[in-house]
Amino acid sequence: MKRFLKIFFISTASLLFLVFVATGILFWYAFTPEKLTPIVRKQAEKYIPYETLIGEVELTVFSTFPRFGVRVSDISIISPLADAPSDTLLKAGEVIGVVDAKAFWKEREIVVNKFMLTNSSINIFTDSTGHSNYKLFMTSDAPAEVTRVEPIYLDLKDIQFNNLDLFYTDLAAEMNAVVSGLSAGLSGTFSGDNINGRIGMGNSSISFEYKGEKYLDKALIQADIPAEVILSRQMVRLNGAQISVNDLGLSLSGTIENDTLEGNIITDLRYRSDPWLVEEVLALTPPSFLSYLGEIEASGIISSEGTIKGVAGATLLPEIDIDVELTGGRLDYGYIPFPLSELNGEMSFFWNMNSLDESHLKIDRLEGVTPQSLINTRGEVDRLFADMHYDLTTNMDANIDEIMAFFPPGMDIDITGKIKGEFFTDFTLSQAIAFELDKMKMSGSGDLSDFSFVYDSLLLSSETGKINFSLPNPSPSRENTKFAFASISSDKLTASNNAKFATYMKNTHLHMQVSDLRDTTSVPDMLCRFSIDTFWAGNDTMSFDIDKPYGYFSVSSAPGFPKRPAIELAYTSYETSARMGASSATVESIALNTDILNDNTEEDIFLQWLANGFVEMEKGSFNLSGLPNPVYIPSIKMDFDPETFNILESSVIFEESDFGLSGTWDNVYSYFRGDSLLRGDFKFSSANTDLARLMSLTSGIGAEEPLKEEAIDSDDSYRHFKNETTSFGNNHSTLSGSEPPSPLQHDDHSSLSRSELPSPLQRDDHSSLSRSELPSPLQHDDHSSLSRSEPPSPLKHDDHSLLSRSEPPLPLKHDNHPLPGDAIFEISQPKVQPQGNNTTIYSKGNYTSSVSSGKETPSSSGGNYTSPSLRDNHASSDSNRNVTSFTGPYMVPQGIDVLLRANVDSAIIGTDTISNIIGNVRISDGILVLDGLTLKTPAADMQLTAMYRTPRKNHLYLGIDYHMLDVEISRLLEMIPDIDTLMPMLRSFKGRGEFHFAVETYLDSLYNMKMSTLRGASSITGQDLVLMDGETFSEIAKSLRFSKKAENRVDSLSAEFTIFREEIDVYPFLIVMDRYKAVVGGRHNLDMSFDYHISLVESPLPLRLGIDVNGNLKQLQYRLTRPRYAEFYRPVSRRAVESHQLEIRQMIRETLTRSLIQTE
Amino acid sequence: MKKIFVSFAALVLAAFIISSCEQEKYFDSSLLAGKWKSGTLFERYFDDGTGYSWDEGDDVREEEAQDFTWTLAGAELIKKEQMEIGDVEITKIFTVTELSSTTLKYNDDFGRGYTFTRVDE
Repeated sequence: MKRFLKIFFISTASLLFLVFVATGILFWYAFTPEKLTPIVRKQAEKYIPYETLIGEVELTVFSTFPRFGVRVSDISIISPLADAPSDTLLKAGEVIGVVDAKAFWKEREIVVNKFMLTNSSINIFTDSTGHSNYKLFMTSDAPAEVTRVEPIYLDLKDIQFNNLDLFYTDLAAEMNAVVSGLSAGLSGTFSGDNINGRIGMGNSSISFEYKGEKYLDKALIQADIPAEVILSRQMVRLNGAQISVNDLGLSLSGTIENDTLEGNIITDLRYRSDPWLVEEVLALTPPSFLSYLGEIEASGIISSEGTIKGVAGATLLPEIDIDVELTGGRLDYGYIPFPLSELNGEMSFFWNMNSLDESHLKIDRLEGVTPQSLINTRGEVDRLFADMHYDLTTNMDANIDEIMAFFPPGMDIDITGKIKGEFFTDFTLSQAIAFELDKMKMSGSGDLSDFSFVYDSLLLSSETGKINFSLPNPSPSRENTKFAFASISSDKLTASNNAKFATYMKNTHLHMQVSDLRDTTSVPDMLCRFSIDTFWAGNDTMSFDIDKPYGYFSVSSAPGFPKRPAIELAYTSYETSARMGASSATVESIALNTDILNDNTEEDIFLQWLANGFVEMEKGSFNLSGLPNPVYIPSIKMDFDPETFNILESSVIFEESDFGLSGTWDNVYSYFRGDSLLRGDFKFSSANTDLARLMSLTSGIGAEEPLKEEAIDSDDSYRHFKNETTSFGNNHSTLSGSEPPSPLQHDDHSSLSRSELPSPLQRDDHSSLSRSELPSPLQHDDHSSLSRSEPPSPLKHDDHSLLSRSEPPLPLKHDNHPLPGDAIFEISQPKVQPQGNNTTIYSKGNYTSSVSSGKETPSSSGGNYTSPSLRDNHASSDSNRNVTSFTGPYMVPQGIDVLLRANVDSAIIGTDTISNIIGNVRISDGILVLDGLTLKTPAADMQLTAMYRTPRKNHLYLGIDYHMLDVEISRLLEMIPDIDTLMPMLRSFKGRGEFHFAVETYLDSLYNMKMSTLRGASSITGQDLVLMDGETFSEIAKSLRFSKKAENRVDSLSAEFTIFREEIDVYPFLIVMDRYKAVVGGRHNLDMSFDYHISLVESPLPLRLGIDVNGNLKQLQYRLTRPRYAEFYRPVSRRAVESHQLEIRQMIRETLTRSLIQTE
Repeated sequence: MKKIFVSFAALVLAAFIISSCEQEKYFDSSLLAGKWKSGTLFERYFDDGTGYSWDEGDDVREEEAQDFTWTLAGAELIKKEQMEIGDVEITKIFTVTELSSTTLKYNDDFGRGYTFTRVDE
């Protein structure tokens, strides 16, 4: 530009010089063209360093009247230069000049009254090497001449350029400018160092190209430029210049100075624009600038004012500081995926092209409308022509869809809804494009409506809500949660994962802190506090309904394992309902504190999650699909870690059982890894326990062998098991021989074998029948569909001392309907089951459970358990209950070693109720041991040591070491009917005695004894026993000729016997009665055949008699014989065999009572 | 007459003596070691006075057999069946009537007899 001005002034000065020369010629050669023209040509050759062609020179009078002027026509200055578009430096159609000769003559002042250049063109060219077609002007003497006129006062009155075409080409600077049809006026004075003037331009167009970039293309230029030029400083001062380019007008004031030392132009300009149409501004904007902005279409009215200040040089550009006001704008911008309209704003633009980083845009106010949103923003955008930095505060009432349009594609996130609020952004354009959220700062708060968030297959939605968020997190709780904070409140929040699950949350408040979720090298860190009024989650198979869940959880990577999540959870809630398949649960309150570590190298889901913590639950009710009745857990408190579950306190109610359990599970983790037994040590205290029922629940735990195996024909072995638990021989057919009786053949009860089944209507009359003798199912047709019409709702348990004591949870929803899982053990016909050479009759049980009406009430003769209240109501809805059966024998859990330190007030075993059970119960890897349990029954105080081992389903070991002190013999027979089988004479005694009994056998899967494995020993003592009137007494009294007054009292009885397979050897024992002392011994077989011998060792008779008793109950045979045991209780005369038998008796008794004594 | 009486007394005495000698049979206990079978019932005796029995008719396998100890003195076989529970022994006394490399017969005081044949292994 400076070069252009320089050339321009030099050119003007040269023209003026020609005028002066022409004027001189006018004066010196009589003013004729013929005379003037040669003179001028000659002088031109002299002073102009280029070839100059001059057409004609003449004086003018009329056109310059009243002054004389000189008109020169067809002037051409030829300055050829290679690559120049033309060899003509200047071509002027006509030049007219009027000079005040008088002033010059007298005052040495040059007064140019008029100078007019018409139809001219100027071609200024500089080639790529810097050679220009005007350089001789710069090096000739002519400029010196000009310099010498410096003291001259120059007054330019009227200088006009009409139709001037100016071409400027500088190949070295890659600059090209064309001014076409320039009409300009110039006036001013030149005095000493200053030129004051005014330039007016109009009706001309200008094109300007720089470095291949078109900055102006035939732009219409109009200007009125009052200016002052200080030549020594080569400075132009503009005072309110009015310039318009394509009607974009602005006023301009200030200075432009040529710094000759540095070769720069120093600017200090102020401008003020007229209101411009934005689209016209964009039309004038060089494409290179537009490329900075990208694809853009804009409209509106923009007005501005500002300053241009600084140095313009080869490497420098001045600073531009602009204040802009925009009204009615519209913008389609490539970086904004939707149009903006109604743009109004005020902003300041600072442009420092020397340091693009300093360029910034300060937005005092900018508001606009998108197709679906209102946006109002303020703030600052820095580094406009580099990596723009946005520091903005934005208020919006926006559709989130439009915001999401800014997110990069491929994020698999879709957010919709509306948000209204204030948001803060502080990030750079490159950060936004690269989605460098970790470097961006964004925060805000707003109200959400119709919100939905979709990530992958996860959907989160809320009708209304509030959100606060901040990137980064301004107050992180952890080092790793600096990335972001978010607080979400929602009246109704739903979430779902396709059809897999759905959740609903009411009045939800979530406060979250997270690490950068995009970091896939480690588990994201997350902290979340949650408070929800109502939470529901579920799918078609499971659901959770939780009241007021509240708590905190965090997720982070485990130390040293960035890919393994470590979870902390602190959770409390009120009533919780859950359903999973056919199982359901309700809990009144839960508190949980846990740390969970994930080990994703484990395949087992349990082993993957290692939890430490504490859980407390109150008033839980669980309906489990595998259980016929609900399990109530009034309370449980437990510490846990992967290896240990420490139950501090718990109470459980299940059917007729209630118990408190406290203690420890050890080796839990190792157990699931298969490295160790699961060990437990618990205190088990119970007011009432249905032992058989609990055993049925634990049967087969840990067994690798499937339960349903081998020939188990019963689908309700629980009943069977229940009967067999305390009376392994209840299946009496095994004792009765090989003739299976028909269930209907029971007329002759007096001679019935023990397996023959009486009618329940008749069995009351037969006290000798065992409780397990089964009624004909024909008598129970009305029970075949027995149902629990009164479900075991705890609400029914008001009078239940256990329940009232522990205040169990009350599932209020089950008042009038059966609970899912209520069981019916249906009655079915007894079956005859061949069992080797024996025949087994067993029945399917008809257990009907009830907890609503208290205890089950066995009938007087035992057998069927049906609560009367249930019997009354059995006809009601049985369609709502599940028929659940426990199949197979009880298999002792394997892989666990559990010690229960039992203290049971009352236990139901089979048909008996036992109280005050104290002792240890141990389950150890397939072995169940009752270790020295002390029991109290109505019949006796007992001590029981028992072992039950289940090596395989059809080979079950049962060993019992049983002591009953001060037992009522009749009750003993009632409790253990098989004693009757072993010692049938006991049936004839009434009174109290002492009973010690050790027996073991293996059982098959139906609890039938394997007779070849039966071993046992027993010791019975009694004093003052009453020999009941009956067949035995009559037979004995008759044979021994008792006195008619003889009381049927046995003074003492002490007997030992052993059992081996089917043989019961009764060692000779002394019985004292009336005037008789007798020794009784022999063998009794399980087929009910006898071979006894009774030796009368003391009697009124002078003879010693003996009686052999043999045969069976139907056909007893008596035969007098010599007394075989005559010397048995006479040590002096006792023989070796007799002594041996006594030793065996003594050994049996000592062995049997050893453990009892030790315990005592 | 006296001669006749003395002869009769000597005859009676001889009869008693002979009869007593017949009851004092002796069996070699070493022959007892081994596996014996009676129907589905098996017994195995070891030289150290231990043994076990099992009945395959009751679906009991040899490895599940029940232990006993035994002594054989003359013809008296005493077996003490070991119970797991209560540390109780069930003493059974038998009289062996035949014991050879292939056959074992014994019975108890109540006349129940058992006949086993050796099982070759």
